[in-house]
Amino acid sequence: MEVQVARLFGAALAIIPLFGVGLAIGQIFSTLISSIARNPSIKKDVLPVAILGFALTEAVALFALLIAFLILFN
Amino acid sequence: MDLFLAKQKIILPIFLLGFDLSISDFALTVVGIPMIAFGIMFMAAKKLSYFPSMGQNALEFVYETFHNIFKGYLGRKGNKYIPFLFSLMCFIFLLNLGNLIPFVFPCTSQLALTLTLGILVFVLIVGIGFYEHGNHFWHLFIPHGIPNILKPFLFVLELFSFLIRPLSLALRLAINMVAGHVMLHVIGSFAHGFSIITATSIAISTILSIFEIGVAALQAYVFAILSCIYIADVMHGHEENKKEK
Repeated sequence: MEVQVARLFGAALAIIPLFGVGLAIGQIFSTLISSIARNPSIKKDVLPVAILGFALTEAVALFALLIAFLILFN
Repeated sequence: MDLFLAKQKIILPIFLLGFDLSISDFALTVVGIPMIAFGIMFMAAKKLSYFPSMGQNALEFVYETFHNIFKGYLGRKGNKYIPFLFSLMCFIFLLNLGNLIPFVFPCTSQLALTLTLGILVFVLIVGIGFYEHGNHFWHLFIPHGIPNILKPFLFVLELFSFLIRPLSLALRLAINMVAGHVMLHVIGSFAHGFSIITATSIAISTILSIFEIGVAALQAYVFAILSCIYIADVMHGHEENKKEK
């Protein structure tokens, strides 16, 4: 296999973590919505935690993206 | 890897005692943007009174909002660390915003700056840990109520996750910023001639730019709140957390 083709495959494999990240972000916001729906007065306390969790999860996706770029353009 | 290594232009070359202290556009941005922010805040807080002016009112509102958030994590004992966290957040937020302005050097997408900030926070955490606990600092790495055989392994594991913190803080911020630039670049490179695709790409990159402002604020908040959580972690340790709950 040529190096260029192998690179493309490697980059494609490197963004597999996006599967887990998608699940996780969906989980975070579905839990947020259901908890606010049960108890709307808690929104102020729950929202910062949810945003923090979202940002931390999103970082995982970006790390995967970084690895993909490193494979592609290095 | 020129994607992550933006070339800085030397504006004023200075060499002192064998050190390269040249002023580049990187250094100028890192100093300049916070100076503007300092000027705005100084104007707002110049005449403090019990009947606040509009500037003082706005500044107080912003500060108190974040003061309360940080206080929720740190508790009453950690009041003295809040100004540091707030200024750290403002610094990162303004530099993140500066990233979005064309022809301004993208500071926070450089690992050099973010890693420096991460190591600064790390040194602060270790300092606070030794200041609050003395030699008992090492007990933070050993959770309570585990069998003696497991203790060495858990110590190594906890120590590793402690040492990796500055790197993860720095990487998160830098990669988030770089990802935004790359996304804008990719969308922008679709534009070709005068066509419907060009119009769409302009529209999408406008929306993305607005989205990037949100990311800038979010990442500054996350950096500050994670530093805050780390400080609270080191201050309270495992025992007092249990007591509070």
